[in-house]
Amino acid sequence: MSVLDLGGIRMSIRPALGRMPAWATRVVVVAALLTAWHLAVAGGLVSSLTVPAPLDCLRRLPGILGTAAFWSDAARSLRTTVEAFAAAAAIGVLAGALLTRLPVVARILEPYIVGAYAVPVVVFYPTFLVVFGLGTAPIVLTAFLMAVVPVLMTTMVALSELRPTHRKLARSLACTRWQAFRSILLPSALPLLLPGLKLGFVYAMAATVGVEFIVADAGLGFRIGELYRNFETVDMYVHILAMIAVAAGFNSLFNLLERVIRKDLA
Amino acid sequence: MTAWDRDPAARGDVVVDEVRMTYVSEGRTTVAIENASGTVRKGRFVSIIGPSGCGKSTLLDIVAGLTRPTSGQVRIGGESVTSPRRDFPMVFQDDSTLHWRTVLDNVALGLEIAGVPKAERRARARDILGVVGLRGFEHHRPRQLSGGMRQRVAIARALVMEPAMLLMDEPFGALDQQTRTLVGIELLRIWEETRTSVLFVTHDIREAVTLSDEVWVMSRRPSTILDVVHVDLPRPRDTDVLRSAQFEGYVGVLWDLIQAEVASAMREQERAAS
Repeated sequence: MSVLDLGGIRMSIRPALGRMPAWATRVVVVAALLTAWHLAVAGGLVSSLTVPAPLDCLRRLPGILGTAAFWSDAARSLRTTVEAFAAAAAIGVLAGALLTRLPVVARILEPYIVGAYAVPVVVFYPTFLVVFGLGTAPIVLTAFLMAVVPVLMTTMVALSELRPTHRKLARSLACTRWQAFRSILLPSALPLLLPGLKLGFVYAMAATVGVEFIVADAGLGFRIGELYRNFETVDMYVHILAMIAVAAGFNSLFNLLERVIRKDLA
Repeated sequence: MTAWDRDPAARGDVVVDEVRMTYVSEGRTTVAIENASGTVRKGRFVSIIGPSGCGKSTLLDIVAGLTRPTSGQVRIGGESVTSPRRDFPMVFQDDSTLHWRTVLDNVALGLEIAGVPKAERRARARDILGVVGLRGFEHHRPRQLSGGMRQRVAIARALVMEPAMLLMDEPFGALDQQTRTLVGIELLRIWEETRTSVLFVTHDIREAVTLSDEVWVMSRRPSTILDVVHVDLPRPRDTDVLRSAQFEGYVGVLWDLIQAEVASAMREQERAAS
């Protein structure tokens, strides 16, 4: 009977998952996804013209990684992302701190800031293209606008969540402004501030690649779009996988940085 | 009269001299503290009790130099207190430990701010942790400790500053009743060991009698210090003392003084709410 069978499977899988280290489970998940992908193509569930088999992609990978074009595209996308993110981080944190100190201004601007979250900034990309021309400037600007909102908002939340007792403690110890910031207020805000920055980077990267896809002259997004239009599906998928690897790599790097910066996670 | 009695501030007594505090909000002036005067003599434990909202904590902030009074002043050693002083550390009602620091580094915070070298501040913090009974917890994080232990970390962080006066603003107010009683007894022991001047705000009469040499009774707003009760119970205050008829006598005296104030403060709040 199916119900009993399901129970039996659950009984046998659970302890096995529990005993396995988390990283091993993650490897199994990726392997399962790749196998499913392979079976779907091999079994004719999807046409190999639309989705290539994973092994074909794997065979093509060294060839693409060996081209200068791939690396210059990756470098272009990365530089655009980092520029947009750096501007969003600096301006978002500064503006967030400023608005927290000026509650009246913050109250007036609040609907606009919250509303900015809902605006698909991408719609302004054609305007930026007309104004700034076909270079990285309109892409950086679009990605910046996407990234700055979550950074600004999490900064405001992080600063408004600071405990009044911590502020009073800083004052009662006769801290200088810098000491209060460095030793008490900043570490206290980090648990909310860092995820905001991480989110900003993710937004910046997504916007960069997405906008490159529309109109650009280089970059991973541009290349994927071009390969798509030329029906070079294998190469396209290799670029997509590379893109995923870069994004996941940066996310891991940020998590690592977070552990180094936030002493309470040690 | 000796010279000291004529000028108590000269020997480390803290003098609260005709302090008055008013607020202006929406064009209306509220008198929080009408007039408060008193002297915390060096090495004495003084509590302030009064109905809630009477300005006890405001008075403590003024003594700490965190708030400037509208008029009057606070003096120590002939010097007027006009800004926060590191030798007047404060213990707050809410948990004020820093969760990202170890217990040892929490205790050393004030010394770090004051620029004391690392080795020295760690050694001093370690000593004080022994005094508050937290030896062995140096490398724990605050969240691994109970609420009562975290308040002892805050007390240690204040004591390590070798305070001229320790300011405590309902430090056990956020703890449950049993913990509160136990940490109170712990503070009694610590104080009898260190004999620092303490100004302690509470609304708990029994807590005030247990700990204090002197209890200042504040009236409702606009506040004045209605009366000063000297608690002449023997020290150390062991279980026998704390269960004596004399102890209950002081509780009764204070309750009689404060009852009318609390009742009319409550009526006022109810009127304001309706």
